[in-house]
Amino acid sequence: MNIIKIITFTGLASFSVNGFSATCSCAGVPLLNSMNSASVDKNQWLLNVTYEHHEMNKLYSGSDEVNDETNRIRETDSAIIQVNYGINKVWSVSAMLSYIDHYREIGRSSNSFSSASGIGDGLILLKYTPQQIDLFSKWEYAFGVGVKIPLGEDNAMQNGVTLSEDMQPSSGSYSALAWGYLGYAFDQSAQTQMFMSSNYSFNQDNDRNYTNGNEFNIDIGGSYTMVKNWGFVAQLRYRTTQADERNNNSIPNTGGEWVDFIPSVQYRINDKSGVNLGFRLPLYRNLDGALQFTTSSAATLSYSYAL
Amino acid sequence: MMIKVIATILSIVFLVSCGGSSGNNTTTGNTGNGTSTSTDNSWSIDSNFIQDGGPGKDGIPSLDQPNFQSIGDTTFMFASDLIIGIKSGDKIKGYPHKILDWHEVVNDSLDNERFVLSYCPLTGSAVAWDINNDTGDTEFGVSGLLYNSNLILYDRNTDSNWPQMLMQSANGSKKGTFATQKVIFETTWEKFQLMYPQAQVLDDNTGFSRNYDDYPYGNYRTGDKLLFNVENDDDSRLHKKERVLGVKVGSSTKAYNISEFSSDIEIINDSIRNTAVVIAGSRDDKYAVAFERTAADGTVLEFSAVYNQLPIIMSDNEENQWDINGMAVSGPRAGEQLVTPFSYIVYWFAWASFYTDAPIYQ
Repeated sequence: MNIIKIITFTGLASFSVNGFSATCSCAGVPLLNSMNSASVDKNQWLLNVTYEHHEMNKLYSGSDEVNDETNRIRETDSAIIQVNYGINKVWSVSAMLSYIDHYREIGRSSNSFSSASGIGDGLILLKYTPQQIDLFSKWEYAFGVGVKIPLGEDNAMQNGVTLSEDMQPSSGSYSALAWGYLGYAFDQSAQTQMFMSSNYSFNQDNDRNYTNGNEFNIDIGGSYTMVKNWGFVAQLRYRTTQADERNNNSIPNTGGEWVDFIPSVQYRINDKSGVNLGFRLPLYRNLDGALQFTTSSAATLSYSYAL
Repeated sequence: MMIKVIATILSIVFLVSCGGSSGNNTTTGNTGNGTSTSTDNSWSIDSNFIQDGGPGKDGIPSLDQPNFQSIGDTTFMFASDLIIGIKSGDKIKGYPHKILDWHEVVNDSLDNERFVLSYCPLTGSAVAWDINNDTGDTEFGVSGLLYNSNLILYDRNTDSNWPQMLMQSANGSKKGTFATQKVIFETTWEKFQLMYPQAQVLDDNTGFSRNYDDYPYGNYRTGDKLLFNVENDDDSRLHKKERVLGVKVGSSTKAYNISEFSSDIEIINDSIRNTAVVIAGSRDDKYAVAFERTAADGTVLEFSAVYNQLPIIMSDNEENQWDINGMAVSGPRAGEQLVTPFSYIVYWFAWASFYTDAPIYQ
């Protein structure tokens, strides 16, 4: 395997270490956590399809887990298509489109469930990568700014009533986004890397005057790519969100802090494509308000293809 | 899982290939017994002000097998905490707000009479419902929906939805049906103990993992902010969370500001739409109750305050003494019960939302 192939695979692998962080207080999906961090060469296309199964069945009071006697089931299945295109050596653009399927059932009631599905939010991000990991540099850094666009519907209804914001496929609102990435290769073949990425989402309100709280994420992790097609990534994610608002009034029991451990394994199918299987395992949360449902686990499967 | 993955990806491809048009699909129905819910989804109230509160149906769990304890065993209450009392014969039960903030609905009985006690923490309104032929033989639960920020209950027999402050089903096969209100009162824990030391109090050992010392809505009950949209939200005659006794007779209403009552007790002989009513309230003890002044024999009574004899709060021009439940406890009418008009304590904004331009007693 030549070095170029390793680097290509490393790039494919590194962007697949992602997971959604929607909570019960968050409609749609924070797309930036699914952002492919790989750099794209001039005129190169990179396609990524990600599926995630996300369960939000843990009940927390602050940082303490509380037993949920309502036997609630809350799941979101998401699929995201991401297309990256290299404008030139340092500038690239990424576009993402999500499809969301929300499901909620209160087991205690034994006669009630709600679901809503449809196209969610989209995202477009302009990325600047002045330094890439290559034969001459062990460092890579990149920055990006973009906008989240409410492409999907946010007025899913049940029994004539609009479902709550967290059950809508789309947030119905625009967001301004900032993103950054820093990577370091320990060896010239880039088999072992460390990386740090962060993003910030400044959210606007939707047509019901509901605003998802602004969100900040930072990920720190490392990756190791084996010569024989396999790669492994482990990362820690710190996430914090402000409280959601309606009519500029804070909504109780929204917002907080999360720390997740995100391991993943990757397999290179050939020089152009690879798959990634990852999990999001909560380590710590400190949630605002008296009680909040939050992530119990998430699993992500993605496929990447370089044109 | 793979099938779902493939289906989801195909859905995206299909939707994108159709020009990127968005779409969504929602479903609802029964999963437990395979039967479908009513197909009549229409509401008799303005659907623009019906909102999904977020937790989902039964996401706020009602108490269906409530436990009680004596006042002496009740250690989680503070003197100024509010409690709702309901009395039948010699038996009385108390339902602390701090538990109802988390459960909102209690399916219970007293003296073999079944009832539902409902409390909406967002509108501050407590109403007790008779379980009778109108409601059907049913339990009630929390629908997860709100109307003008007010709790909408649902009955578990027909799945019909009942806005609490209307006490009338607004959706489902029971649509249009009125429930019957039972007499309750609200006061402080300090006065409740004094009135009824033999009372049974809802046990905080509810079977649910909740910290009842923690109020779940932040500074909501004192702040001027609302969490949900309501009609007529710019009525600023009173602070939005001012507790008032709202009284409705026919189509006429009147609100009595509890903080305007005398500190110990004040009696107001009033009339609403030609119906003579008496309002008794106390600013310090945080209660207010309403009764019709016309006795069963047609006599219109005039009431005055009785001090320091709780639960007796008033006497009339016939020398009868009446307790906070509207029961004559002494005098020639001993044992007689005054009729209660449709009334309850509620935050001002909610009363003004349901009854636009509602007059306030001056």
